[in-house]
Amino acid sequence: MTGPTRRAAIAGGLALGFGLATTATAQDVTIRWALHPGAEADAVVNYFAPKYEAETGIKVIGEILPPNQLRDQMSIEAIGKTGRWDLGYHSPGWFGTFKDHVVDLTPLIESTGFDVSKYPPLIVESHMKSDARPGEIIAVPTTPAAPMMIARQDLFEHPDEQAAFKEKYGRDLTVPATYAEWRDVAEFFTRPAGAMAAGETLERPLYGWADALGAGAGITRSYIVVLYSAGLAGWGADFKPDIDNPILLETANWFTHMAQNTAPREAQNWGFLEGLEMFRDGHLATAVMWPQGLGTVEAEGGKAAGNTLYAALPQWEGNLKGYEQGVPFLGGGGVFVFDTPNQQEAFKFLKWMLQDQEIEWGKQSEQFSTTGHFASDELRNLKPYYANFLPAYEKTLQQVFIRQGIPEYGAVMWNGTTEFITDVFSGDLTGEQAQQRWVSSMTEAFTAAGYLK
Amino acid sequence: MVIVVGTPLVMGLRYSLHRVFLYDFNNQVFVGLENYWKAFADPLFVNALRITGLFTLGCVVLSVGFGILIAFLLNARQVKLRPMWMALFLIPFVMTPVVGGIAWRFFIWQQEFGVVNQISSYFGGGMPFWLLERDTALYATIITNSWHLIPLAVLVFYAALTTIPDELHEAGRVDGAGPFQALWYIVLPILRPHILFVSIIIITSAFREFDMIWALTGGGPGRSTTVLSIFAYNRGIANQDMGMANTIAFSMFLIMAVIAWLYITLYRRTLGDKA
Repeated sequence: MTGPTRRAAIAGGLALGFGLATTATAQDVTIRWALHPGAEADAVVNYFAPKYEAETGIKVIGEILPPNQLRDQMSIEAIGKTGRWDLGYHSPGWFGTFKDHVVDLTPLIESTGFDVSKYPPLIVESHMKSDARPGEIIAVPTTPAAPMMIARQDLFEHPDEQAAFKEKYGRDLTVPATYAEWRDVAEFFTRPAGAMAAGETLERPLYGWADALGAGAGITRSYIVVLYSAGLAGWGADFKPDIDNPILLETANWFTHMAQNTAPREAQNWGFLEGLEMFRDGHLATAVMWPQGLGTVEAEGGKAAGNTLYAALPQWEGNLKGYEQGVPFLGGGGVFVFDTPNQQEAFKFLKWMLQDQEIEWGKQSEQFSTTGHFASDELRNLKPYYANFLPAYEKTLQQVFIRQGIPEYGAVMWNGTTEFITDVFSGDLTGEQAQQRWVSSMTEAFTAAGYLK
Repeated sequence: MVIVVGTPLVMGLRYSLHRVFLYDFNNQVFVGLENYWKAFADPLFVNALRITGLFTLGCVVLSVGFGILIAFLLNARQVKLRPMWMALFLIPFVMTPVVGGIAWRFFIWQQEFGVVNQISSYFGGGMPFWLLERDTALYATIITNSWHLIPLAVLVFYAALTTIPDELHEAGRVDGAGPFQALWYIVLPILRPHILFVSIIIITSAFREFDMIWALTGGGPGRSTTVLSIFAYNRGIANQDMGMANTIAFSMFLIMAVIAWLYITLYRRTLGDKA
């Protein structure tokens, strides 16, 4: 064998060996992802994971956890350093909780060409960064989402209803522009079975308003939106609690009044989107809808299909920040990469799914957040109701609350809200007692953390 | 054994004397008894203590009461297929509490289709939201948990009943005692130590019950079924305040230790009386 031939044979052998080794390594990699249930999780498990494995040989296992266990389980596994998951989904309010266990994505973003500018600045701020890891990017957004108001078009546009409303309230029946108007509208439409609504006899009661009121996350998610809309943030730049403001009690009174007088009792079992089935079936006049529930509302054959008005949440008149519309928190979530040996491969998968497959991600997950999603004709024409929904949703996203990503957020704000509204709603404590309790625990936590002297 | 039992206890005590948050786990600050003062000054802790007491008492009364009754009926001569009945009665006990809780929530207490409201509406009664009403949720959880615990009582009482000599029943019958007089005058005095034994087992079980209540109501509505274990969970996991959670848990241990000591003392005296 001549020299060049030998060298070529050696080089070929090395290349073959390297190729085989790479393939073997790729096939050995299994990325494990702790997911929140929903269309996006289904999309990962059923569509993107198999497709990625077919393309790269790398297996992705999505483990869908119950929503109320997701943070606890990930937190416990992370503290225990078990390496059970390479990727973890969570809403940004809790990013700080994982500050010691997730990697800075900045180098991975640079090396893979992940385009951060595709996301609106508020989403970057909320779903990628955290006050607990300043100067770093610790997550990428998968499902940034915010709730909006939905209303039954046939009820609002029926002449009998319009006349009756005008007679009772002295103004036209329109989709509420303020929270006070929403209370009137909700009371107006709350009717027992046998009553008339839009010219039809009701077989079941009609309720004027509904949101998830189930214990824990349900009632918290619903109420905290009202709280933020009133201009409260929990605390100011100096970490001094602002929840000692009397407006907190006004929001609690509004919420408990609506929950007790205009919402179905079943709502107290709802954790998130369950109530939208009642809207779909024609038993609710208005409701709060997270975009993940759009498919339920517009389900074929339902009374709300093609008969739903979409709007941003109404304004809280006299709110502390001068907001012109309701201010939901930017919820949904993002994905962080745990400090495991698979971190690079895990991020490559995320980049592939969210950016190389950008439009497909929007189609499969029914989540819209990037400039590409809103500019895509393909997505806009995908469903007949997107023409009404998307503009209202874009408006909703223009005024959202970015939750503070400090490690204490979950304990002092989210669970503080849970305890406050639960105790006021149930009557276990008076509004003032619950408020004082919340202010004290927040002050104490911030003092212990060194934010307050 | 000392290590197995002692380690979690010592760790629990240690955490209860510290400020420990899950989100900042390595930053633990010794605070002495501050967590205990805070807990006992908190109206919600006192409320959880009260709810736990009511829940435990309700479970003991129902479980012991129905346990004796069912065991007594099972022990009757007329009962055929006794092993089958025993096996049937044991099913709730071998069922995982959380599964039992979910099953009762969706099939028994459910407002529209639940068995209780179906029966109630058949007889023209109302259809309340059993688990959403503050007035009924605690009763519903007590009944459900008792359903889970009654088989244990049945098992112990039935075994005890089989040891009562037939001569005693014969003598009772000769003296003209009916079934319930026999239960009251013959059976119950003999069962006294067994009642104490079953009671302490049920008290310890009900006092720390979590899964069943969590599956049924999650501690709600409001705080109406928030027992101490759920309160501790909320503080420790939801609020990430492991210091306070361990304070509550260790307080539960102390309360239970005192009750168990009283019961064991009483049990020994009862055995002494019997001897």
